[in-house]
Amino acid sequence: MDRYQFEDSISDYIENSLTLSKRKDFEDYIENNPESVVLVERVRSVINNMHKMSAVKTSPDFMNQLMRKVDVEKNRPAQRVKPGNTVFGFTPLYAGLMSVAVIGLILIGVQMIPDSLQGPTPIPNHYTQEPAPVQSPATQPHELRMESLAEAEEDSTDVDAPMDKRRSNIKNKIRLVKNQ
Amino acid sequence: MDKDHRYTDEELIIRFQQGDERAYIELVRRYRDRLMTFVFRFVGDMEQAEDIVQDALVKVYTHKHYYKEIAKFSTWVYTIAGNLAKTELRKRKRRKTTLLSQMGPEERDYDLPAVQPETGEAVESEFAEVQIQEAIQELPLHFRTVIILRDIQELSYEEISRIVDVPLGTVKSRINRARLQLQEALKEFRHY
Repeated sequence: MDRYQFEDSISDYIENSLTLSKRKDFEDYIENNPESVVLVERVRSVINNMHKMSAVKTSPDFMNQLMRKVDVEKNRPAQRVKPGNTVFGFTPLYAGLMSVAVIGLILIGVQMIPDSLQGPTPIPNHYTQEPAPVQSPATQPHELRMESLAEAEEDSTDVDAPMDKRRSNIKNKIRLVKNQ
Repeated sequence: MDKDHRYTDEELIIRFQQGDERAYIELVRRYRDRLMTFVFRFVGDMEQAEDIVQDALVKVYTHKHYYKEIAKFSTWVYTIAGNLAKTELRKRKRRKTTLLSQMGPEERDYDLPAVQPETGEAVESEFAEVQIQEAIQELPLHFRTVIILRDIQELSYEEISRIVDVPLGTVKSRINRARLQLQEALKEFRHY
């Protein structure tokens, strides 16, 4: 028997509920470990002292207060339900609400079923028609942009232009903004 | 209502279910002090304990049809009282946490009132009881419930197992551990 087994068995030893072989093991342990006798005696003392603790009594007015509380509960309107008066464990009101909610969910679910599941699958039009001539969307805007840049007489990014010209460009742009 | 002594608790609750209110009064008379001791040792406050016992007995009144003959009446009523006591302690813990979080650190010292033993055996015994009560209050709830039911209420392990709804082996183990913790907490006092 080790220390843990000894501690686990203290209550059983005190209450005399150990089997004979375990009791012998326990007694061998305390014989070889004299300090463990002190622990057994302390636990025994705690049990005895708790047994001796006085009973606590209710106050003299306990019964009157209790009956007042009972009267309040008795007069509380329709809040108690007898166990027999239920539908699958729900009160009639909640059972009704639950049924309505379930029916509603089923109806919504039926409407969400796709049409394809309700008949033969139609072939979409775009598979049967001739493919339209495709212009490269990536190149076309780029070409247009290159043309318009080429046609432009002035370039605001032209850093080689004289400073006065660039300033007048900026002033024109500011005027345009103001006029708007 | 002396003649009612021949009825068992289970017979009384069945009579009450059939509409005999005197049976309820007799059950209250039999159980109010037992429940009071259990709940007071659990929550450590007389006023709260009395409120909880009353609430438990009101529940017995309003939920009388929920009692089934397969269980002992004592198991049922201790379960109700124990659950209410635990709920009260959890509420109290929440309130205490809220209050402490609102306090400044200098306000957080709250020493328990010192109990000064005078002379005589009665005072010594009272002192010992206060020490045990304080030590019980320090135990975790699942240890506290079982040790009160076993060592103060002196219920059987089987009944405690049904009340707290845990296996018998777990109940025994919890009681043993609770006793070890109590002796550790009380060893500085010469009585232990």
